[in-house]
Amino acid sequence: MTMFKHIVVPIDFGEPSMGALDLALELARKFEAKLTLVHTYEIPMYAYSTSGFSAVDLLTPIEDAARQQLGEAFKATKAKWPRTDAVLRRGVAWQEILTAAEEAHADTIVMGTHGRRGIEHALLGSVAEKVVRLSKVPVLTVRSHQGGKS
Amino acid sequence: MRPIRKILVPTDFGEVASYALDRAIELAAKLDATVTVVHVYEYSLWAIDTGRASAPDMARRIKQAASEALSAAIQRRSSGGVVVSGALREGIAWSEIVEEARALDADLIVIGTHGRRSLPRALLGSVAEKVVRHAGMPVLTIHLPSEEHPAKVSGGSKKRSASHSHHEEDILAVSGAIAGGTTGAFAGPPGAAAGAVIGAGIGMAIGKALDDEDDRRKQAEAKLDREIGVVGGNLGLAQPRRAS
Repeated sequence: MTMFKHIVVPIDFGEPSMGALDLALELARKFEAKLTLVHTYEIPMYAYSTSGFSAVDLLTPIEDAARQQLGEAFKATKAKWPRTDAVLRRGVAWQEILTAAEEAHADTIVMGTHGRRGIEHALLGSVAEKVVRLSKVPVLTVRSHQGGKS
Repeated sequence: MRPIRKILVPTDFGEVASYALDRAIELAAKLDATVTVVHVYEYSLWAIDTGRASAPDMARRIKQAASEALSAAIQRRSSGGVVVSGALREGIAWSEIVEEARALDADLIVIGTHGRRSLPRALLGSVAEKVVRHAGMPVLTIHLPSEEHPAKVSGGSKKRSASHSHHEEDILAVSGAIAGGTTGAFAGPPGAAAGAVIGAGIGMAIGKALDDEDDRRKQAEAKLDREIGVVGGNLGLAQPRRAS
């Protein structure tokens, strides 16, 4: 059984995913695992409406911003743990996360979830829930706020 | 980030839970953590007077069987240097698990889950998903290594029986869950309610492909089978998984 040999951490730069990254980093050190940061982005739906923007107009700035943010997180993480790499993917978050984990041959996904309650929580946690449900490898979910505060 | 010192592992004595527990113990060894195994049983629905056994008697027997199965599961894993202890709770599985984790002040929950094995299950969500949603601490969800991951299957012969028993477990759990609705407040006829309990709780061990690797477990599960078999028979519940 191999676990924590190669950890994938999806990050959206929000607090939950950064908390997950902290734990993943700690586990990576402990288990001397490879760490792959994954950031996914989507071209928003309004790009396809009559907003005046086209998907192509938005693609470049969004991709640039995504690449830059991921690059920063990557540098900061690699400074703490050298066996780190990063992957940028465009598409539906949960699908891209699963694909990235598969392509990396990762054995664990560590991801943050929003510690919210009620409908808000049910909606916001949906990426993590889909990943938990559909991942072939173990998924470690990390709440943004211990104790369930929103 | 606080270090992981206490790991809670829920079990229904099924194959996935058993697999998750073994993984948790490996992690615990590496992290220098302790493992607490929690089993949640539910006997409120069994407390139906069938004429053959009184409700308190049945409750007592279910608790006893749960306790013995838990002891066997722990005993079997007590030789590896990791401190493994047990906790027994009665009630709704996911909420008792979350409660136990809180009471224990666990740093991590490791829980087995069947994942995407069937559509109805996917729609209803599993115990593991509710635990993920409600627990305050990190939760590691683990599937059995599947057919798509042959490299990760430890024993070739176990693989086939694993997927087989999954399938059956799903059928049973889903039929029960549908009868009971999505909330876990089962309102079906006695037979359906019994099915729901089997799907959700203590009776996961019914008809389970017995594992040759450990006689103790075999005995405990057989006892569990017998305990539940009596009740199930009284309620007119066929034992679909035993038939295979």
